[in-house]
Parts: sequence; structure tokens; C-alpha cells
Amino acid sequence: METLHTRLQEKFPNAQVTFANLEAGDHYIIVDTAHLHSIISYLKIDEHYTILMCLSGAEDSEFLQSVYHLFSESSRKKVTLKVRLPKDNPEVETIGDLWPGAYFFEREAYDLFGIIYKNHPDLRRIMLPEDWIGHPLRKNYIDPIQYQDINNERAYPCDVPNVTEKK
Amino acid sequence: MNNIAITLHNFIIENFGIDINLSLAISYFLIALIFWSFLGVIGGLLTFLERRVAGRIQSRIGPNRVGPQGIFQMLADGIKLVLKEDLIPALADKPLFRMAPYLCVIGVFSALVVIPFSSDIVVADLNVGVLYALAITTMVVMGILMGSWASNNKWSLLGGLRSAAQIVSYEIPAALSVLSIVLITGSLSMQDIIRAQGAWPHQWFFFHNPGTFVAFFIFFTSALAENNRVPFDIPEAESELVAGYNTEYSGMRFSFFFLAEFANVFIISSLAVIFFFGGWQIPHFLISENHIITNIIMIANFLFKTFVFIFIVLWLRWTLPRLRVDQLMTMCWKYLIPISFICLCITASFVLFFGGKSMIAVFIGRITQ
Amino acid sequence: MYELEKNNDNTMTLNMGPHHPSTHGVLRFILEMDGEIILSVKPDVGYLHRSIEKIGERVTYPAFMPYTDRVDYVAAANCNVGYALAVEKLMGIETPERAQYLRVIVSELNRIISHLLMTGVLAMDLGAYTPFLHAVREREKINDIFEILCGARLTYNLATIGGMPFDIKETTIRKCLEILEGLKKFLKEFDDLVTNNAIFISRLANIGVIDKETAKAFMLSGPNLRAAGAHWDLRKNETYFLYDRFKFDIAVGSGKAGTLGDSYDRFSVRMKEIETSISILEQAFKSLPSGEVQAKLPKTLKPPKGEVYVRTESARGELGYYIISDGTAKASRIKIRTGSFAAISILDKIGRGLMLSDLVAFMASLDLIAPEIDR
Repeated sequence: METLHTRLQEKFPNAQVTFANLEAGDHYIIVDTAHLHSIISYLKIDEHYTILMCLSGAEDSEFLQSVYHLFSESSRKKVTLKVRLPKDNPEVETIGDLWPGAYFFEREAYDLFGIIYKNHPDLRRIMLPEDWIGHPLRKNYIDPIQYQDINNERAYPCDVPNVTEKK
Repeated sequence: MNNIAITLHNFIIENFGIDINLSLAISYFLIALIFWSFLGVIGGLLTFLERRVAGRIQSRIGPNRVGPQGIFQMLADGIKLVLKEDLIPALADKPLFRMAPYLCVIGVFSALVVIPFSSDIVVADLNVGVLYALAITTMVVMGILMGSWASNNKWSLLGGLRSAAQIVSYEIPAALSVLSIVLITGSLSMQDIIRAQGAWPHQWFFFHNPGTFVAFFIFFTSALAENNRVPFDIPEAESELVAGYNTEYSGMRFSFFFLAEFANVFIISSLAVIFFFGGWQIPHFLISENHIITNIIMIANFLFKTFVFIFIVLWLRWTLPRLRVDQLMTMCWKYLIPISFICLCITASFVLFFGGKSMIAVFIGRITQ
Repeated sequence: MYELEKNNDNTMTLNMGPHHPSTHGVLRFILEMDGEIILSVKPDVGYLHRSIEKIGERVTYPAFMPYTDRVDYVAAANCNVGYALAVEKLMGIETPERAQYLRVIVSELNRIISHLLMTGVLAMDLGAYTPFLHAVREREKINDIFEILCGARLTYNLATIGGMPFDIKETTIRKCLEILEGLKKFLKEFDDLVTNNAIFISRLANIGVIDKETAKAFMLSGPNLRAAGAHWDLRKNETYFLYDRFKFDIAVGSGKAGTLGDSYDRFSVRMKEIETSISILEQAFKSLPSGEVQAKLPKTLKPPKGEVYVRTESARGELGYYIISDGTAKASRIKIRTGSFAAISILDKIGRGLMLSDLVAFMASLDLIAPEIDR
């Protein structure tokens, strides 16, 4: 993966491509938001990363992330790409033109994280109702008390009988 | 003409001495009541039978709690359906919606008029009996179309459209295959058709000639399709159209649709027996001096044969998947109708060259010469 | 397959679902129809969204295990062991050999259950009700085995991180082998009743053809991808647990009834996979090693900072767990990538031009399970 990282740096000199190595698990490459689409299409066509395994939204302390897990059938290699998006304006190019199946995954990330995918033909909420407020998987999301007429609060929060008192 | 209504009418006049017109009305009313309730019971019995047969086929038991072997399950179901709320959708066309199930029931039950149970027991031995039976059962399509349109539901509408196309199309091969029989007997009366056959298999029209042999299968297939039974149950295809034309029906109206369907199973099975399997004909040694005993044996014989076919219908229902709409139409117009024409031609040439004698009779005649 | 003429005046919008008999759970499709022919399919999912991913951020790693059952309740064991594997990889835990064998056994038993249900339901959607009940009868017998193993019949919760919470007894193995023998007989019977039925073949052949390239573009995986002709099985190509010790062939679509990648292929691939699973199980029972079933672990599990994407072959295709850990006892993010969610997006592309009856068959052949789509 490190060699792939250097190759990407050579290929896209203007883009910021950083390699991240954490304590455990997979390594990943953080790429520039502006160059994401061209990098992924380069990976798909020239590097033969033909399979998009997963597309997910995520959040770290300051940024929202859009994470792409790619897989190459010919070389049996996996690569994880990430883009970091500012929380107030999370916008990134869609990759649905490369993998049409990604449109639904992007809709999910939009619904639950609020990441806006540019040029997406049908960017609507998918899991939640259209009139839902907020994006639930964000860390600062507060559970709503009420949705339409359905109240989330219990009338008697301590309805469970107190077992210790009975003893 | 053997007509039990007339017999009853004469009996009433002789014993009670009332007005002729009144006695005619009473006797016809009584006969109608008896036969309709008979078909109602048969319909109910078939719902029970179907569930038991389905249970056996699907390696489970089926209803067995109400009464011995669960025989009263049909009564329990009937009571439940009568007591259920009769829902009519707000935007439905109410008069049509109410009328549709009755049309279905009338169409099917009226066919019973011409079904002979024995040499004496038949409501009316019409001289156009075959034509009447084929025509009146088609009235079901009106009921289904009416119900599906009046429901104001898209699933119902799709079911109704499918049903109309299907029933009207399959009427043609059914009629053509029966025409072979009519060619042989030269009569449209059910009793004449049965009398032209015998009690033994070689005397049945099923083995009359290759044409009628194939014609039976075409008739049976088309009759199944006309009755919307699996594998031709596309109008109510529950996995595609929710419940097809009776999606919006509930309670008694819903059960009327079902009663019509099960009564129709009985009707088509009995028609198959009448046309191809000798009807009520029994061997000579079973005909006794006592008229009543002879008739009872005839009825038993007829019902036995009919129930064999009913079992086959149920068996098919729980074995086969259903066809698609276009496959169904292809089968009718591209295969069944041409083949039934060919069968008609074969039968016609048999009638022409061998004077209406059956295949086996001709063969035996050749050997003995 | 049918000529499409888009005429806006004569189309009908049909609302299929959320409670339609053949949408397998709570799914909704908004269909635009020209008579019986479908012009477009708009899937509307989310009726079964239980925010499992959000729950994952609020409970500890071992406490999330029961929730993975609910991701796909038809193949719950596959979800359990997949999640356990992902956490183990994140923490670098070595699982004992016997536990790995047990995981192979439960996931193959579960695969058989899931495929039996799918084939039965497919037959039921085509109008034959009997094969479904026969398949469920066989399924019940394997459920009995699960009940002996872990006490549950549907949502098993049968894996722990670092091993398995139970061991298998010799008597259970014998009972299991008996059931597998019976299952082989049942498969022959099922072939006569369903697989070789002319109506069944004519309803499925050439319907909903997905070629290999389209399947990959729409991120299809598992049996749906294999039916399109791809030799791709994570059990073989990306060995996890100890699948490399077993001999088995990848079931691939052959196109014997019509075109490669049609609905019949997807059905027959699953039928073949049941046989594959039976042979894997027999091998596993023969070579089951002795030893511990649970690795020694600290009392509270705190994976180091990092992230991992682990995918396993579930009954409905690739089941991927993407876990981001921030070094605490609770995950920062758990994303579950399921086969059905990827498959639902292909409905509009392939569904156009099919008839309503075909759509039902096509949907059943994709083996969509609503809770897995919505999570």
C-alpha cells in the first residue's frame, strides 16, 4: 500500500495524498477532496481496483469522512481511501458513475451523516423519513423528543418496579 | 323427457289437488332449493377437502379439530365469515361491488341445472344442454370483472383484466373439444351424450378415437383455466396481486367468490365425467327392478368419478407453480386451439368413415371378420 | 425483453408494499406500469431501520453481538461470527482452532437454513406453496441442532469475541450427520418437484439477466455474483477461519436453462451451495480438532486505536464489518455492509421491461431480506 501511495503522489502532484498508519488494523490513504474522483477512476482503470467493496460515512474529531474500500481482483489487494470533509460544508464528488451501485451507499451516507455527494442523480434520505431533522450518526446528534405525533418520552420514566425496596 | 320437477309437479297435483300453476311454481322452487343447497354443501365440503388434501401433500395434518376428522370445519368457517364485518371501500362503486359475488355464484350454480346425476335425476334435460353449460359458466367473468372494477383498487383491476382475458380465451378450446363429442352423438343434450356411452372404459368417449382422447386433456386444461385454478390462477395470484380481484372483499361476499370457485370445481369435474367418462352409466348387471336402488347406484357412480377428478384438481393446485400471463395466452392461442381443431377433424373423419363407431369397436370388428 | 414505449398518458403508478405478500419483510416499491409491464421501479426502503449502527456506538464490543443477529435474522450465525472475526482482527486475538471449526460448522448450517428458505420462498412466489413448507420442514430440523448448541432457534447470539461460548458434543455431531443424510434425500425430492419442473423453469429462465460486469458495477456479491458467472467466493478466495482446509467447489451459474445470470441460475447456484455446505460440514465433523474453544481475554475489551474492514461470505453475499476504534471500550463507528442492500439498487436497472409476475420472481431470486437492507 505504501508503494501505491508513492505512485499516487507521483501521478497527482497537485493532490494532497497522505498515508495513515494506525496502531491496529488496516492502513488507509487520505486524499484531497477535489481529486477524489480522478484518483478513484485512476485506481479503477489503471490500477485495476475494479471492485468497490464498501462505501461508508464516518466521523472523527474534526471532520466527516467518506470512506472507500476498493479491491483489486487481479492482484488481490485492498486499499482504503478516505476524504476528510469539513462539518459545516461536507461536499464530495459522487463515484456512482464508476459503480452505479454506489449511489445507494451514498444515499445512506447522506441520510445518516449529511455528506452531500455532488452530481448524485437522486440524493434523498433512504433509511429515515423525508421530513426527519438531523443526521443521526453524527456525534453531536441529539435524539429528538418527538417525531410528528409520536412522543419519545415516557409518561412515567421509572415505571419499572423497584426490586430492592420489596426486599 | 325425464324431468324431476315435472314428476314432483304431478305428485303434488295427484295428492294435494291444488292449482296447476301454483304447483308448478312450488315444485320448481323446491327443486331449485334442493339443488342449490346441494351445491352449497358440495362447495363447503370441497373447501374442507382441499385443506385436508393440501395438508397431506404438505406433510402436515390440516384441520382436524371441529367434529370428527374436522368435517365441521366448513361450518365453523362459514359462521366466521357470516359474522365478519362486511367492508365496502369508501370509494368503491357500491351497487356493482355488492352485486359482483352473486353474479359469480349464479353463473356457476345455474350450470347445475343440466348436470344429470342419474338417468332420472336431472333438473332440466335441455336439448341445448352443452351450449347452456358452457355459456352460463362464462357469466363468472362478468362477476369478476364487475367486482374488480368496482373495488377501485389497482391490484383488483389487474386481476380482473387478467381474468377476463383468460376466461374468454379458454372458452374457445373448451368448446371446440366438446364439439368433438357433439359430432359423435349428434345431440347437445347431456342425457343423450351419456346414453351414447357405456359403463365400461372401452365404451367411454375418452377412448372413442385419438381425437377425443386428446380433446379430453384440452377440455380439462381449459376448464381449469376458466375456473382460475392453479396453474392458471393468475387473476388472484396471491404473491403478485395480493389477492387479485377479491382484494377488497371480506366476510360473506368474499366467501361467495370462494363458494363459486369450489362449486365450479365440481361442475368442471362432472362435465369431464359426463363428456368423456360415461357419466352415470352402470353395468347391466347392476340395474335392478327397483328404480330407486338403480338411481342410487348411478348417483354413487357419478359422484365417485367426479370426486376422482376433483382430487386431481386439488392435487395439481398444490403441486404446480403458476404460469405467467403471456405464457398462459400463448398456450391457449398457439397450442390448445390448433390442437383442438385437429382433434375435431380427426373425430369428424372417424364419424365419416366408420359411422360413429369407436376405435375399439372398429378394431374388434376387423379381427372378427 | 419487451418493447417499451413510454407514454405518460397511459401509465399507472402502482404502490407495491410496504405490506405486499412477496416483498419479504417490509419493503416498498413504487412501480410505474404500462398495463402489466413495468416502466420503472423505485425501491423505498427503511421501514425496518432499527439504527443498529448507532447502537453499536453506544454499547461495548461484546454487548453488540446480540444486535448482529438482527441484521439478518435468517442467517444470524453468519453475522455473529463475522462480527467476532472483525473485532478479533482489530485486537489481534488468536482464536483457538476448535472454535474456528465450530464457526465453520455453524455458518455452514446457517447457510443451508437460509438457502432452504430462499428456494422455498422463491417457489412460493411463483405460486407453488408446497415446496415452501417442505423446505421449512427440513429447516426446522437444523433449527433443532441450533437449539441444542446455543438454546435459540432464530437469533442465536452464538459467538463470543475470541471464541465460541459452547462446545459441540459427540451426540450432537451424530444427530447432525443424520439430518444431513436426510437433507440429501430431500434435495433429490425437491429437484423433482421444483428444479426440473417445466413451468418453474419457464418462469425463471431468461428473466432478470445480470451479466458479470453489471453485477460488479452494482456491487453485487455472493450467490448473485456467482450466478452471473464470476468464480468468486470469499471462503475460497479470501480464506478466513479455516476454510482453506476443506475441499469444495465454488458453485457458479451455468446458464443451462437460458442465459447466464438469469433468475434460474441464481436459484440453482443456491441449490448447489446447499450441497457444498453439506460436504464442508461432513469434512468438518470428520476432522474436528480437540482443545479449547475460548481464547483468554482481558475483562474489558479495549481495542487499540485503528480501523478494520473484514468481510465474510454470508448467505446473502458479502457481509462486511467496518469498525473504527478510538481506543475506548465502545466503537467509534460500526458500519455493516450487507449483500441485500447492494442488490436492491439493481432492481430499477433490470426491472424495467419485466412484467409484474417477473419482478416478483426476480426479486425472490435476488434473495432480498428487508432487515438486512435497512439494518
